[in-house]
Parts: sequence; structure tokens; C-alpha cells
Amino acid sequence: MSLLQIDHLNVTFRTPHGAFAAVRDISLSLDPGETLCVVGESGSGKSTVLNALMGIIARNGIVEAESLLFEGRQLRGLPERELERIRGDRIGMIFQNPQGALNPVRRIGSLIAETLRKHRGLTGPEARREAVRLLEWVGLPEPEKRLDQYAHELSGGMSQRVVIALALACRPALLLADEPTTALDVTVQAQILDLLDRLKTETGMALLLVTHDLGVVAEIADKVLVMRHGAAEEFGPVAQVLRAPRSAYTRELLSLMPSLEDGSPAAPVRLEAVS
Amino acid sequence: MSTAPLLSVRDAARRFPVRAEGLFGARRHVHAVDGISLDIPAGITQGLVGESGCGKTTLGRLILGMDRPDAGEIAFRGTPLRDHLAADFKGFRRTVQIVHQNALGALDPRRKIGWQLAEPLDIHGIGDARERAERVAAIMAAVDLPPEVADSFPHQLSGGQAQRAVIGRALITDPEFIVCDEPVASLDVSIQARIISLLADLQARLGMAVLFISHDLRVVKRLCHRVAVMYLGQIVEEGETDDVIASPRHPYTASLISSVPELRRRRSGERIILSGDPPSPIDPPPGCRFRTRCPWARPECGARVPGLADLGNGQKVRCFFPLEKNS
Repeated sequence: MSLLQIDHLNVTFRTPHGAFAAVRDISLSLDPGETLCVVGESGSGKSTVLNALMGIIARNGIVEAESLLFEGRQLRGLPERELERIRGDRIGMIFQNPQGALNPVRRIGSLIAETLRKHRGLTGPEARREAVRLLEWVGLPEPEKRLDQYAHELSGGMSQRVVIALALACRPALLLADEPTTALDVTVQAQILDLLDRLKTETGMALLLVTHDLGVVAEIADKVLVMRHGAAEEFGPVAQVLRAPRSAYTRELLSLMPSLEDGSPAAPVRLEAVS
Repeated sequence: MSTAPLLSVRDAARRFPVRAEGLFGARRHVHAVDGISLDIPAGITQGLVGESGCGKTTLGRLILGMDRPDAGEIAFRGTPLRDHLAADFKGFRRTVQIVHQNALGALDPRRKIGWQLAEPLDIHGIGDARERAERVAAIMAAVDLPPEVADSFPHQLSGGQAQRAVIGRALITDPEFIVCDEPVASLDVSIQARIISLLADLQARLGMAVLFISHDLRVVKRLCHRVAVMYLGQIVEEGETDDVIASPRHPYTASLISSVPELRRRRSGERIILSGDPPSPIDPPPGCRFRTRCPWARPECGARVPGLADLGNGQKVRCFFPLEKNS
């Protein structure tokens, strides 16, 4: 049985200009320990798929699906309180802007302690020890010191590590990541992708990652869903989608990707030296 | 015949004061640009890459004359920039133009695109009304904007169209040199690819020199003849783009290249993963600035500051122990 099974998901937003179908008939499945990347350009609906799964769609949005099965449970129509238990406990989420995901007026330690108390019933020194262990686990240098710092005192890469530690505090079976490295510099992006890959291997959790960068997909995905205008262009194993894409749109995206490798198109025209 | 480069930067430095810690704390500075020398010949596209805060935008502003260096000199056609600016600011701005990252922010929201494209001609007194209209039409064709866009307001354009308009506005005065600061960073890959080919095509056809500032080596590879890599206010490597990417000699360049997510590569142990973040440009580490993150750093690297040494093929590297050349 799949960890996650989405069948015929539709998300429609009511707007003053009429209904807007942001996600149209998306189906996908994900097994434990797998990484699925949802890739597409701005406005393709890739983040909306994640938000619908998490139950954090804006009020004017209508989520319809034949089924949203997670660990064999139907999430569709689940009361908010039940959903809240699954979020955090079984499904973690990390975002593009890590600094925005951390409460700016509270210390890192207190943010982690809150999660540990709420979801794992840990308090006091026990919670503190666990918080330090979590920060160590995600590779944050000087974890003890970080507990007393605020988000603004951390760099973007360090903040994203804290957000990942928060998401992993409950050992979720599924981690949702919405463009987790887009706001980071490329050397830090490499660190975070490496970290996510390592954590996935260590915990056996599944990773559902939204990105616009096919390079990131090539690096960490097992499966890929290519989206355009809210609909699925292509869904399949990464090797097949990237090497033998069936959809013309995927082929176009691949051909437009800039690359460091030789033979990439539009190489600059070399001019004669001007003397 | 002169062999002087179109633009030459000599030992340029620019630092910004930051608030001291505590009432009696010593005044400290961010060394945004710290001893940069760079020659840009006419008619080439020079890439400038580096991560956030490395000083690449500050260097661009110095070259545009939008900011003055605290030390060193920048010369355009052999004449110091400050003389150009003092003697004929308008003329200089006509010759050296800029394309910003945020195209919509660079356009006046209340003016139609046609008017904004003609404005530089008006400011510089180029041509009469008919000639200006012709030039606007010609530049719109050159940047692939449909004629009806002339009657549109910026908010009616797509991101790609807005960037084309900004490029057109920069080029309408026939500049010899343009500075593009991350012009495609916020665009989707399909639009990014089209803007890059447009820039490559315009550069080859019009022959202006371009300083292309970017954090994305993949884009630089597509567009730039030469590339300079910056780290903490200094150039650490410089050379022909193909040489530098095929055979990076500075450990930082090598790690940048190996960090780029590539289509035809799975994650592998060969990748160089740097530890930590770049140190603060307020107190850069003594000696080689990269040594705190360098996988190959040796004790000697902290003792002295490495200079930018020429390796023979025009590739320069700021490292005591440059990497072997890839064969």
C-alpha cells in the first residue's frame, strides 16, 4: 500500500472574476522512503497541490478529490482537529522562506520546545536535550547556543535547518517541502539537498518536494510530476521523465534548462578581439 | 590604435560603515569591494558571479558611477570615471547603461511603454519626433516586443515583456557598455531562456560590451565570454568562461560548479559540499578569505593574503595551492 495516494484532486478558487481552477485532476502516489518532485513554472499549481494535502488552502478555495489517502486514512473531509494531529505528527512541512516560517519574537529553543510538548509530551530538561539533539542531527553548528537565539540572528541556511529540525521533531512519515532551497545560495542549497537526502535515508520518511528547477529534480527525485496550468503533463520515474519524456512540454522545459555541461545550446558567439 | 580596455577597474575598494556594537564600540565596516582589478575589453560579455553579499552588485554600481570607490580607480576608455561624470554626466549615461533585475520596478507604472522607450532619446536630444518614433519601433522589434505594447502600461505586461522593455530602453541610446544585474533571476526558465538568447543575439549584433552580474553559473555559461568569480569582496578566479568551468583552479569556483544541480548527474560523493556559510564581510578572516570553508586549506593559508596570479592562459586565480588543471 502506498504511503500517500491522491486520486483526481481538483482545487478551485472562487474569485470576483469567476472560478479559477488552480489544480485540475491530479493523481499521484508515493511510497515510504521515496522522493517525489512536483515541478512546473510559476502559477502551474504545484504549491497548491501541497497546500491542499496539508489542508491549508485559502477560504475561497474548494478542494475536491476522489480520495486523499495517507497511511490508509482518508484525509478528505476529516475534521480540522483530526487533521491538525496528522499535520506535524505524521506530515511535516518546510517552506521556501525559512525566516518567515520561524516566529521572529521567540527564541529557537522555545519554538522547538513547543513542538516537542504539543506532539511528544516532552517538557523541561528533557525537551531541551531533545532540541539540542535535533539541531545536531540537522547539522547546525553550536546547537546549545542556537537555542537562545532568534531567527534573525541566523543565516538563511541555518534557519532552513531549524525549520527542518522542527518538521522532523515528530519523526513524520511524510515531509512536504515547498521550494526549500530556492531562496538559498547555491553552495548552501547543495548542503540542504544533501541533508534532506541523508535524513530521508536515516528515517525512511517520504519526501514530496515542489521545485521549479529540473536540476534539483535530477539530483534527488525518484518520481516526478510535471505540472502546467494546474494539470499533470507527465508523472513517472525520474529516469524516464528526464531521459525519455513523453510530454512535449517536459521536452521543452528540459531543452531550455541552462547547464554547465558542454553542448548546451545558445553558447555565446565568440567575437574577434577588438583592437 | 589603442589596446586599452573599454573599462578598467584598478584596486577598487568600497566599504560601508555599520553600526558599532554598544555605545563605545569601535566603528566597523563592511568591505563590500576590497581591492578589485578587472579589465573589460570592448565588445565582450563579462560575467560576474558570486553568492549573496559577495559585493558583485556594489562593483556594478561603482562601474556605473552610481557610487564612488573609497580607493582605487575606475576608467572608461582610459579616462577616470570621475572625470567623465564631472565633465559630461549625461553623455556618460548615454554610453553606459543599466538593466535591473526587477524590470517592473524599473519602469514607471504611470507611463506607457512607448513613451518610456522614447524618454532617453528625449533626455539626450537624439533625433526629431519622427526619428524617435522610428527608433522606438526599431528597438521594439529588436527586443521582440509586439508594436501594440507601445500603448500598454507596465502592469499590463508579462514579466518577460517587462524585461524586454527595460533592455530596449537601455539600448535605445546605442550604449557602448551595459551592466545587467541579475536580469533573469526572477523569471521562469522558459522566459529566462528567451531573454538570454535575446541578450546574446543583441550583444553579437550591436557589439556593445556587457557586464553580466549573476549568481547562476549556468546562465553565465550560456552568455558570457569571460567570467570573474567573487568571494567576500574579492575576485578569486577570472578567465575565459569555458576554461574556468571546464577546469576551475580555485577551490571556491570548483565548489560552486559542483553545487550546481545538473540534469545528467545524480548526487554523488564527488560533489564538494562546503561547510557553513560565507563568513561576515565585516571581519573577513585574515589570510585567504576562503580558507575557513576550503576543503584543502593548509595552515599557511592563514598567514598571508594570496594575490590574483596569472596561470598562463589568461586564467587568474587567488590561491596559494591552485587545483590541478582538468585534462
